[in-house]
Amino acid sequence: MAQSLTLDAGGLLFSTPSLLPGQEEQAHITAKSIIETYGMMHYDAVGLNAYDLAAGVDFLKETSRLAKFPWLSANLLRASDQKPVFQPAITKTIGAIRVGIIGITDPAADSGTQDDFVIVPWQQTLPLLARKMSNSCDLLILLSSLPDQENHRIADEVEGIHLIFSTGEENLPTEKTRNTLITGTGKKGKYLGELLINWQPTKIWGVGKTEQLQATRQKLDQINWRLKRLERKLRPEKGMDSNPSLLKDYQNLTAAQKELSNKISALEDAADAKICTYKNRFIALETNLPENPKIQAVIDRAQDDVNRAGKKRTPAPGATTLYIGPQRCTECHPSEGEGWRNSRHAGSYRTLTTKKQQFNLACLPCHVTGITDANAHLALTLAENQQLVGCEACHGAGIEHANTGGHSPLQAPHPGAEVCQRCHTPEHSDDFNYQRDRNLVH
Amino acid sequence: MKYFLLLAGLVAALPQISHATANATNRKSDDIAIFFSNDIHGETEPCG
Repeated sequence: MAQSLTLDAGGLLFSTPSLLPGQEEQAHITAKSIIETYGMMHYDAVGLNAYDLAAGVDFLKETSRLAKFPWLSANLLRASDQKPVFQPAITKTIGAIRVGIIGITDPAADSGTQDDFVIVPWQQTLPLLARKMSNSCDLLILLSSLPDQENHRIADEVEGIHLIFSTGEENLPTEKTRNTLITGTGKKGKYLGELLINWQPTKIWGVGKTEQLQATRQKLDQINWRLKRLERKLRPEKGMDSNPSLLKDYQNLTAAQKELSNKISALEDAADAKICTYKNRFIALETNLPENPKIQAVIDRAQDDVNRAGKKRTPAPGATTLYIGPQRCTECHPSEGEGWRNSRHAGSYRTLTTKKQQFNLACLPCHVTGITDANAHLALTLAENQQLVGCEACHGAGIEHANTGGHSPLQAPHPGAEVCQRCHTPEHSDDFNYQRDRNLVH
Repeated sequence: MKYFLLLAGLVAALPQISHATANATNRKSDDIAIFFSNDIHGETEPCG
């Protein structure tokens, strides 16, 4: 069985560069659980993305005992002495191969509010570290949260890095720049990337010898065929010198024939061990895979803790009094009200209470009326007539409209797809179709 | 709590993946298999 590494280039914990007001405690609980489960999955190393710092460097340091994996960043430095805050790199021995793994953090994503720390450009630290590690490692890997363009610059400019794992939007099939492969799995965890490597002392990537031989022989066959045709045209009796253009072609093809023949001989003579080869694929992760009981226990505990954290918050007055609730709307719009009552929107809050997640600020905004992600903490103080996805969730607050007998227009009399898609995102509602599903509301 | 569904599933998936890969490619014993993820907690369970 081959030896394996499990890696991630970062961005595990938070979806924003800084935490939204009132959501800190729940975000911390979630992040700790993610860290714990990554440890349980035996991750060997995780690169540090600037978003992972949303709760602060101290939070990450405090939770490192849960991690059981190293956070890596070669360019997150203490401002005071320019020393790395976390490990810049680690080395692991896989079979007979010494593997170096470096982390690099994207400075562009830095919220700029992080204590006494600074994310410096990769040029300040990476080239020197890579050079140093390439002397002691057989295979050097970079976990990078930098954009694709920067990863290619690194491949172009930094010696010794053999592999870059990126954090792009979509799966990135392996690209080769000089002697560096760049690949990455797309966001949202729909796939697991797999790279099978046959690593050799030459440390040079190439395609397999068999494939190279096959391709070279095919080229030689084509040239041989063209040469035969030319030879027929250039028989002495036809006057070889009478057509300089054909003669030039003949000479070029003869040279190519010789070159390819030599290449085939060299490939045939070359030992298999000289070329490093790889196979890359992306494995779709199915949602119907059985749960791991130990990780399920962590998830259940985190869900309870998140809900409990929301529940204990002291209610604060929210700017929610502009909402009148669906009962009043239906006084003048009875048929729409009837349709709405039969829709899933009417029971949206109940789905959370059933799962005991009615205090979870990550869920609430899309299950109530008048709340957005930015003010999610206000959802904990809502009146009962907003504890549902009511008419005003899509049409806007209706108090003015109702108090003027309908003369004051609603904010969105005919809400378009963009209103629905605030919540019916591909992640939350992957089969949502506006044209079809709009009729389900009323 | 919208995360985690695949995070949990991945634990079950990894041994299956390794086993299937080993069988499928009949790879040499000195091959290295590197698994790499991105945002695996981010896939969401459909809400409600």
